[in-house]
Amino acid sequence: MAHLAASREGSQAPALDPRLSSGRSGSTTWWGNASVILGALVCWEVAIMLGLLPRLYFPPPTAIARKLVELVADGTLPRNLGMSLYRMGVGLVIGTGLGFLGGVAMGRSVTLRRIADPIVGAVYPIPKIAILPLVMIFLGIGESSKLFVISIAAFFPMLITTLAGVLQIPSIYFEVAANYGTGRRRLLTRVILPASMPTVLGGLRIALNSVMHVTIAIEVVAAVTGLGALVWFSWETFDVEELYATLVVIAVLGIGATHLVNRLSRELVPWRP
Amino acid sequence: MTGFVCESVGFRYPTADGWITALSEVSLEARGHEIVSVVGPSGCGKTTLLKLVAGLLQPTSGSIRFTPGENGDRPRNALVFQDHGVFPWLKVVDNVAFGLEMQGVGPAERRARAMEFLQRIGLADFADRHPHELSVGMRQRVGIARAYVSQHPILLLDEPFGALDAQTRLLLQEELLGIWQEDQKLALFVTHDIEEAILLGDRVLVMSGRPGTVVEEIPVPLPRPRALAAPDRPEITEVKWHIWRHLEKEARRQLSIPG
Repeated sequence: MAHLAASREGSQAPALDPRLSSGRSGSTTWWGNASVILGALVCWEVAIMLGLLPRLYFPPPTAIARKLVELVADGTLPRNLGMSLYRMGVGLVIGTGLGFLGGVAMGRSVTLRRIADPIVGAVYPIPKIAILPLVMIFLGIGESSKLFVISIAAFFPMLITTLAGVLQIPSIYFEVAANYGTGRRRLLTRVILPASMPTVLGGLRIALNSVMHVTIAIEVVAAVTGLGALVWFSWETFDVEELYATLVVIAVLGIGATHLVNRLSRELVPWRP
Repeated sequence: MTGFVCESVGFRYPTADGWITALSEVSLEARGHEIVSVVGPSGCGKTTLLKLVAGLLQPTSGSIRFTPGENGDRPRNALVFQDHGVFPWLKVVDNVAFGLEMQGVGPAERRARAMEFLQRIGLADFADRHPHELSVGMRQRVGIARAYVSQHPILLLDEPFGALDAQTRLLLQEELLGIWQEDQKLALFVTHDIEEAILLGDRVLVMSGRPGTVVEEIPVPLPRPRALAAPDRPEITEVKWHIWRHLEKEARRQLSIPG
C-alpha cells in the first residue's frame, strides 16, 4: 500500500508544508528501498574486507549469494522451498476459506456470535506452534498435523477481520438490498462480499504473515524438509552461509507475499478511492 | 390505481432509556400518479414513515394497506436515499441496473435499459465509472436512475437532495420534475425544505415532531408541468409561510432560540 499511496501523492499539487502531507515524508518507492538495501549490503561487504566484522558470524553478501546459487544448483533450495510453499499454500487456502465463511456467519448471526465469541477469544491468543504437540497426538507426526496447525494460524486472523468487516457494513446497503428484493445468495455475493472486501484483504495479509511464521516454526521443530528445517539443519552443521542464504529466501518470500496481497487489493477493490 | 393508505400508523422502538415513540397516529392516503411531499422538522420520524411504507420496518400499531397491482401483489416500491445509497463497489451502470438484476433480468437487457436511462439524463459517459469518481450530486442522480429503471410503481424519496449545495439542488429538482413528467409514478417525497415540498408535491403533508404525526395536509394549487419558479407565485408565498409557522416552534426548540 505504501508505494501506492506514494504514487497518488506524487500526482497531486505539492503541499505547502511538508508536515501536512503525511505520506510524502515517510513514503518510499521500490527503487528507493532497493538502493537502501543495496547500500547496506555494500557496507557489509566492505566492513568484512576491512576486518571490522568477523567473517565466521557475518559471511560477506557475495559468499551468501554464491551459496544461494549452489543451493539452487544442487536442488536443495527448490526442494525445501517447494515444500514450504506447499504447506503455506494449503494452510492458507483452507484456513482463510473457513475463516472467511465463519466470519460471515458470525457477522450475520447474533446467536452464533454470542456462542463463538468467547471460544475465539480463548483460543486465538494461544501461539499456534504450542498446539502442535497436541495435534500430533491426534493426527500423528506426518504432514496432516502440520497442515492442520498452519490452517489454524490462517483461520483466526481471517475469521476476526471478516467478522469486523461484515459488522462494519453500513446498514443502508442492507436496506437498499432489501428494498430491491435481494435474496440470500445475491445478498452475499453482491453486497456482503464486496462491502467487506477491503477489510477481508487486510485479514488475508495478517493470515499470510501468520502462516509464514507458523510454517517456518513448525519446520524448525518438527520437519526434515522445508525452509525452517533447512535453517535448523544449517545450524546443526554450523553452515553459517547456508543459514544466511535460507533467511534471505524467507525474507524475499515475505516481500513477495506482501506485493501479491497489494496487487490483489488493487484488482479486487478498484472502487476504493 | 396504485396506492396505499396508512391508518393510525404508529412506530415505537426500545432504547436503553425506555421506549421511544417515533410515530403516532399517522394517517394518510396516496394513490394514482401524484407526488405527496412530507415536510417536517428533523427527527420528526419522516424517514421512519418512509421505511414503514417501504416495508423495511413494520408498524407497531395501525396498518398500511396497499391497492394490489395488476398481478394482485402488493405494488413494489423503490427507495431513494439521502446519501450513500449507491453501492461504491458497482459501476454506475451496474448500480442503475441493480433493481433489474434482482428481478432476474439478464445482463445484456438490464445493461441496455440502464444505459438508455443514463443516456436520457446525460450520464452515459460515466456508465463505467465507480461512484467515488462522481460528485455527490451525480451519485444522487444515479440513485434516482436506479429507482426509475427498476420500474416499481411507487417511488419513495428520503431527502434525496438534502446533502447538496443550493445550486445543485435546484438543477436536480428541475431534472426530477422532468423525469416524473415523462413517467408519472406515485411518489412520496420526504424533505425538510418547504419550497422543495411545494415545488414537487401535489399535496404537502406537514409533520410535527415527538412523536411524529401529520398535523396538516395542504394542497398545492400549481399546474403541471412545473418550473423552478413555481413557488414564487404570490398565492404560494402564503402557503410557504403557513407551513413555516407549523415548523417554526419545533425548529426553535431544537436550537434553543426563544420565540
